[in-house]
Amino acid sequence: MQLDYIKKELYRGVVTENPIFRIVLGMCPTLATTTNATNAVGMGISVIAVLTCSNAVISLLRNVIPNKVRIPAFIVVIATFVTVVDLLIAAFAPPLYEALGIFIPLIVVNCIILGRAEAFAAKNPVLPSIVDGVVMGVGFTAALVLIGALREFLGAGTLFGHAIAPFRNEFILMSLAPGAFITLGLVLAGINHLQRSAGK
Amino acid sequence: MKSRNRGQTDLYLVMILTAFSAASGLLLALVNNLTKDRIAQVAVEKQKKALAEIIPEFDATEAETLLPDSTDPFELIVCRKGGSVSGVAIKLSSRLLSPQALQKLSLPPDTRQDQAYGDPIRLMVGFTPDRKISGVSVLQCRETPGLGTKIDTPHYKSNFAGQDIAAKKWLVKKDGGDIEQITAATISSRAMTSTVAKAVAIFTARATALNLSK
Repeated sequence: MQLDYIKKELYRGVVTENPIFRIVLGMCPTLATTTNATNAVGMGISVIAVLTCSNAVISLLRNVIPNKVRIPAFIVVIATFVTVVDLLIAAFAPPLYEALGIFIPLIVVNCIILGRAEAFAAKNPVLPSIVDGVVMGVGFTAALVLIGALREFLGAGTLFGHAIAPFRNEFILMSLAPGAFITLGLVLAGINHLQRSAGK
Repeated sequence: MKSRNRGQTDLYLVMILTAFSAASGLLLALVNNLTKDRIAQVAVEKQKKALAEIIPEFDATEAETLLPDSTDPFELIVCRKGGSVSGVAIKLSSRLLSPQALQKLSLPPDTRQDQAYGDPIRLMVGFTPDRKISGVSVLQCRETPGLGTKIDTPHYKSNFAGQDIAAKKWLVKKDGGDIEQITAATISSRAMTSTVAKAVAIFTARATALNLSK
């Protein structure tokens, strides 16, 4: 039963309520950090950490936080965890820190985090909120890695830094910002198509 | 004290937010304390590694901070082996310098746009006593992934490493110099080249004082 619950939640986070492909929140980091699959994984893990911690704390304090100041209170909680993650990455994973640069601090304004705090953690007990944070984070990571892998493969012919493409022709556009929009758009269209044909 | 379910006084709201901020501050202070040594150590290690990469042999170093008042100080590291100078490393960034700073470093006025595409590129440039570039190490590069980041490849850096500083014109070919620019990353190439040129100028200005052979 426990396992079923986790499976169901995971399916919800990754597929039916995927934060990027279904809820379409947090597009800025999605577009900016998916130049390669490695960065996407790093960004995803950072978001899982922040989202899980902020969901847990906000859910724990949901009865203490007055409705009028809930948004500033959430932001304080989220900003704190983001700064903690930022410092930890700078100290223990310097290459990742350099690769992600400004995008770690910008997790603060990632709509997914505040969205889950407002829509889920503020209304649910601690454990389900933690699970929600993890599965939403995993869904975010999965989507980021998919886009990152596609862009890295098309843009540089590599995957996680390993050369795998049989060609050396580098489709530079895919590594640049337009490539992010194009990839995201096509993947979204593909997923919508799959969902529609599955619904028939 | 009023219950939070009934009228929430402004004082209560203020107290809650204050408590949140205080708890947040406490946690951040804790984590900062925990990580600050390690973060400083990472930077030092990175610089050490860079130095070892570009100066082949040394057993003692002495560092001098150039532009100490700046937010982005440059550094001149004289490496010695058995007492004599075995190499000089200059740590600097692609940032445009103020006329005062240029004068301080005895550099000619710089009118070129040598800023990088992203944040300043930080380099460590090594020189041999016989006035050649022994190597270039990229300490920070926030250029466009897949394009500008190519400045940090052995292939591109071979434009600089091993070159006699007097024998080259330190400009990209597009600007009439001797250095190749990377296709679709001219700005990054230009920033890298002009930063190396700046290091060359600083080194040249200091070489006499260090009693290096001409």
